Amino acid sequence: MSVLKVKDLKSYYISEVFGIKRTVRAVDGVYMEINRDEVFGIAGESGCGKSTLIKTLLGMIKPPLTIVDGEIYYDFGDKKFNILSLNPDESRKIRWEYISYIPQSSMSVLNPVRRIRDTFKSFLGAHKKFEKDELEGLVKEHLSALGLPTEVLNAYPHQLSGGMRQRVTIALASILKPKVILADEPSTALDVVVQRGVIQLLRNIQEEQKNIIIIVTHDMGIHANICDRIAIMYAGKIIEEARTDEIFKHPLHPYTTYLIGSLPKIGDKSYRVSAPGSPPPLSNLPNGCSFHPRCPYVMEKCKKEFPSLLNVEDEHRVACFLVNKEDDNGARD
Amino acid sequence: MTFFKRYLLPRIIQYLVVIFIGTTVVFVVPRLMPTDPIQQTIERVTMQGTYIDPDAVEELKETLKELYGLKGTLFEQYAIFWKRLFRGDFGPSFAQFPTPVMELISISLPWTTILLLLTTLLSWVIGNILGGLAGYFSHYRWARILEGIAMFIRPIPYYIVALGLLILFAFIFPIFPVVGGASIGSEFKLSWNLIIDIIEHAFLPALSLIIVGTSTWFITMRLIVSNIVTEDYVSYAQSGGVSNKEIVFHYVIRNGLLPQITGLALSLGQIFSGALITEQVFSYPGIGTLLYRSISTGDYNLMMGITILSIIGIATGVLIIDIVYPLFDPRIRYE
Repeated sequence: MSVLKVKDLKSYYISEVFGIKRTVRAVDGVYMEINRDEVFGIAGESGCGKSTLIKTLLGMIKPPLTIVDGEIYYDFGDKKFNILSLNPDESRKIRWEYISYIPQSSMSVLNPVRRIRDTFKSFLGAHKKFEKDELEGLVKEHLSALGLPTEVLNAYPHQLSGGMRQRVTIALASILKPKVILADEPSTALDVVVQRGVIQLLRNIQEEQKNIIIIVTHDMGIHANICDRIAIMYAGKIIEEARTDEIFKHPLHPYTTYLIGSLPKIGDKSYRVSAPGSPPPLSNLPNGCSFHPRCPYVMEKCKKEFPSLLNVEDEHRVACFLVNKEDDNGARD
Repeated sequence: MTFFKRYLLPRIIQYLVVIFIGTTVVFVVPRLMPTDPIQQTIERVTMQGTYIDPDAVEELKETLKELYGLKGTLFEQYAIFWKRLFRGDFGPSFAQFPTPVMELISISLPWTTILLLLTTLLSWVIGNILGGLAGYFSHYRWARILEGIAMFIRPIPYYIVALGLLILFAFIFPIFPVVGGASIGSEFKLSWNLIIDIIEHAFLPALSLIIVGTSTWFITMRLIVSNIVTEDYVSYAQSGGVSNKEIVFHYVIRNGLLPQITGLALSLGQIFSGALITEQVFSYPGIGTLLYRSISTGDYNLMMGITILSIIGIATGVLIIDIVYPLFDPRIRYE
């Protein structure tokens, strides 16, 4: 049963400076379906719209970000809604209690002049009423369950290491046992040892709370480690989506092949080829398939039409004319 | 103990050095001026047509030299100057001889202190809160209106605002008195009538200072906040569903206040130099009026007294901020 269903989502950054309108198509027609108790990974190069997708899923839409089209349905059994049609106050209440968020740069997300305790208080107090000592007890219990020292509560953000700050944001995101946790590059700014700890922490939380985790990162190693399913994003669209082992064994889209082919393997010292060129600017996408200028198998058709994301095998979808040769009428189930 | 040794002591030493240098400059500068206060005094006396015989003039010169602290070499004068200063004695006023400068200042100081302390604090608090709110809710109409008002007031020269208020509320609509700090002939005994009288007289000067002060603080805070709202910790708190009220006060204004606190300390220190234009426009009997009078009559001792007082005021303000700043910004700690 799917908990989150995204339909033809288009969120653009539309700005107008001195009468010149600029549209950045950060998320451009994304379809997604995520099931209960699933860890879903979104991979892609920098600037392909991953973080914007997360922001939109969270319902944090602030200008210049504009939702042009699409729906995001959440179905939590007792609560069903399209987050894009909620008013600001309703979506404020949904956030954190049902859908929480682990930010990209934990270095600057904590208020520098308040103790960690106060940050916990303001985040929790916004959603539930607590008795005087209840909140403190809950926070301490949660921190020790995650294996964090409760002394961090007395600290100011600048007194904590980067890894500890990221763990604090993870503890903040998971304390209300939300149904969905959106993690935006949760380990990117950390060194490898701390990365491992952070990913392990996320996995423990998921095992215990059985929530959906949507994890965005460009690090394929992390995806291989933690995700059940992976979607590859390119220029604002999902171009391939499959179960983790499937995508690593049989990548179908040329871009995915490059992405996975560039990963080092132990014992294999051959030269790794990465995709030539760099991703197109989202404000000025090429016609047809946005990957065609970099694709070695480019055909005439790729320059004119955009391939739709179609089922190839069970739970393996790909948007490429190489794979979907006949099936190109643009329909999607 | 380490706090005292490594944080407080260096700052107190710095404080004393600043005051010492400032005071020394105040001592030296008038002595480099081409005018001679003793000659001036004697001229003032002889100008009135009195004949004084040369021996008496010589005697008078000596007496005046001693009184003014101008006896001996520059170094001796300097030593005497400090000796007097430690006793809180700035010497006699030249223009209102022989009233001590200290007495003149202590009459004017309470007027200025109460007026400026109140208006500075009030406009700081109001300006920062309104500026913070308008900066955070910048897309609302009321925020734009507030900003428009502040932008309109800010460039008007202060004396125009002050005169405008005076003409409007004391002349066209005579609600408030035109001049002074209290009605002429009032007895200075603590009574309700006196307090109301003083408030009535102080109302217009205070209003003019608050209008201009508030809009200045408002605009600075509004600018600071427009940067803070783009900070990650603000959008993170918003994504966490933290209420707007909490974000405005604990996240936005709280962080925006840090630079404003420094500004507050400096303007509190400036209280002791008075509000020259305000006091002139409203004929308010404060330090500003005194300073103006001392300049126009060439009363060096009085000038020096007021200047030293304001040096001490600003230096003390900075010292206090240095000491209490870590309370506001935990990133700054005494090591």
